[in-house]
Amino acid sequence: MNKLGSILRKDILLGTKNIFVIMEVATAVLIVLLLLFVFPKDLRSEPVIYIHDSSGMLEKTLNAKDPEEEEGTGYNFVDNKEAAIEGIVDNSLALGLVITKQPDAAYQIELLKQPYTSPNLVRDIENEMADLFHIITSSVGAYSPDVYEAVKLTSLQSGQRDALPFNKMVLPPILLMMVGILGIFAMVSLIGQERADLTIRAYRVTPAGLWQFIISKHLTILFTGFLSFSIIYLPMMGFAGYFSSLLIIVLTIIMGSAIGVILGSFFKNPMEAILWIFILLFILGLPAVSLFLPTFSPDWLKIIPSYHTLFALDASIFPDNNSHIIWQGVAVLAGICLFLFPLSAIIFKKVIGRET
Amino acid sequence: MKQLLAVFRFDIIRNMKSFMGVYMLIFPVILLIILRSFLPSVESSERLVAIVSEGPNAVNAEMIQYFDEVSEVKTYDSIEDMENKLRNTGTAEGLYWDPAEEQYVSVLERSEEGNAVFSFSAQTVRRHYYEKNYPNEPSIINFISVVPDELADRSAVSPVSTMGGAIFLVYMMLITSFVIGLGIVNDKEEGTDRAIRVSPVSKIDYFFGKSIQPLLIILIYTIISLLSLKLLGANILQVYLVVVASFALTLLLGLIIGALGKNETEAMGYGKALSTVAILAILGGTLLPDSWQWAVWWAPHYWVYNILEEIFTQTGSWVNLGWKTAIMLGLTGTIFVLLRKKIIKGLS
Repeated sequence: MNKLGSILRKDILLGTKNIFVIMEVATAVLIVLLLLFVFPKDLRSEPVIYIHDSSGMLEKTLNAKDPEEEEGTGYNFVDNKEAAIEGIVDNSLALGLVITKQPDAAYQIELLKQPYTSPNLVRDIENEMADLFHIITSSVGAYSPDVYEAVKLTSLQSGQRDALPFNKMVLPPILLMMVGILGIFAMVSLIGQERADLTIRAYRVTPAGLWQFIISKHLTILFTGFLSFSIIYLPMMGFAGYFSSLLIIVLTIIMGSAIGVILGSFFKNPMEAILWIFILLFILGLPAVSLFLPTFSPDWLKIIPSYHTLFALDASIFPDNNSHIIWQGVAVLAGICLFLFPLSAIIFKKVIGRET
Repeated sequence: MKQLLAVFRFDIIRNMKSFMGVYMLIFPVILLIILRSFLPSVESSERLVAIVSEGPNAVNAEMIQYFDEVSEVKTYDSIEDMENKLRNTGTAEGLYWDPAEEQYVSVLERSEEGNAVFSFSAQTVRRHYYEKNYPNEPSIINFISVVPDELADRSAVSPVSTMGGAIFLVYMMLITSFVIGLGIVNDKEEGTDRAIRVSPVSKIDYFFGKSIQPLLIILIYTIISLLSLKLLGANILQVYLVVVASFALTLLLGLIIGALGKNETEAMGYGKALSTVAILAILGGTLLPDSWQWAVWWAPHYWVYNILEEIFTQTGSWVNLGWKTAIMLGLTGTIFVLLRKKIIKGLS
């Protein structure tokens, strides 16, 4: 244990001297300042549908004539078709709807779409409009009671989830990219440095084992990760969800460090490993798409470990009767760590053993 | 020029020996393959409906078929399994048959209080029921969809692909900065920089010579990415102007990483810090609405991303391209001026 303590002291001193630790802490401070003082908290969404409803049917139903009420709802009633077109020209993510009543009592609905709008979305909107107009019309074409009786609605939780502050909503991917994958970068460079300085060879003739060498590196990275995590998390969230988030991030760091050990073993210096690091980062970043676009959640995405980090962090930061997601994430990440940690140590021992 | 090319040749030979050159050629292909496989699945993502298909609560096959045509359907053996799916990650709606009430039950993860009608699955069940039981009723809506003439010249490529293309190129810039920076540090550690000092190669020759290979790779992969991500409708001249102009930013980051880092550990520390901040700015640029984009105006990478996205969506004009590129170069120049002394000292 004394030997491990000595190596750990050396690694922390070296990490500080090499300004790696300082850079991590400084970046964490910069990011938290940006999140607190530059990034917005309340984000009202811009209109995504511009509606001109000369029949007044939809406008009356949505009861949103007052522009203040419309703000943040995603729709915006405009006076004519030209204004709807102007809206979707300015906002390339928006759509337009032009509704007019026809002499035969039906409604003409013209969807003004973007050139890229998918047929699936057009079909969904058509179905939604057809159903909605059957419901809201009081004349010919209204659903009879038996149509309503065909289906009833229930929900697992009542009431909509409170709107999440934007600067907190982006915390999970920031924690993943800033702290979670720290180990991949750090371990590759720490091992590369020891190799370049030939200290690994010197170390082989000391009484300490290679596992102490590796564990000391892991502890140094965990210490740095803990500092960065706390600097970002505490000013943003306080102690709410702190310990469960810390647990998730610690497991992610260990996973990243284990991958870093494997890369550091096979590549002689960080320069050679950097492209593979970036490929890994790219893959690990993909599940963030699902976090911000929940309809995209294919099963194969769950194979990427960072999926569990992101969703477990999200559940921990925004508790919503979803604690099982935290523990599922912890279980998956712990399983990966249990596999990767010894594997990386074995690979390191073999490769370094051959080199020295 | 001769010296500059000599440094370029030296770098190529060294990179090929260490497989770095091969990696640099293969790696963007791997990234593009990942993107090319990933983006269509995001674009085609549909509403997910979790349907009970076994036991007394099973939804009949005809209804499942109807849902399958308008959404992604996953079947479950029991209500409990279906509800577990809803409680887990991702967004889904549930559906089962209630034999006692003889009606379908549409299950939402959450619902506004008082909502007894509106859900995708309830709407789909009603539509199916209505079509089946009232086949002769006239349609209540005449629905048409059109692309207005004002948008006829815009790209038909989805925003997912245009964002993917812009993110790919910015990501390539970040990686190239690392490669340039770590190459400089490597030279410092191996003493190559000292050998260069006593050779006729000037610092500028050395630095630009080291940058030729990454620049060529970015230029080649720009066109390959446009081809593979189906972004060829974009103005290629504009894309190349931005890519070449933004190489100044790539060089600056490479210089910062290489000059400020005394060894590879330090260089990785600087590089990670810089790329984290750049990624944060891109994240802001992607997620923030137009009215809040100013929050990331300070980041030159944001401007590169923003211009590229405009070009890919074919909404950008030459005027926009001009002033946005000028801001990006201005910010790059400002950072250089602020760190100039440290960079010169680091390279000495």
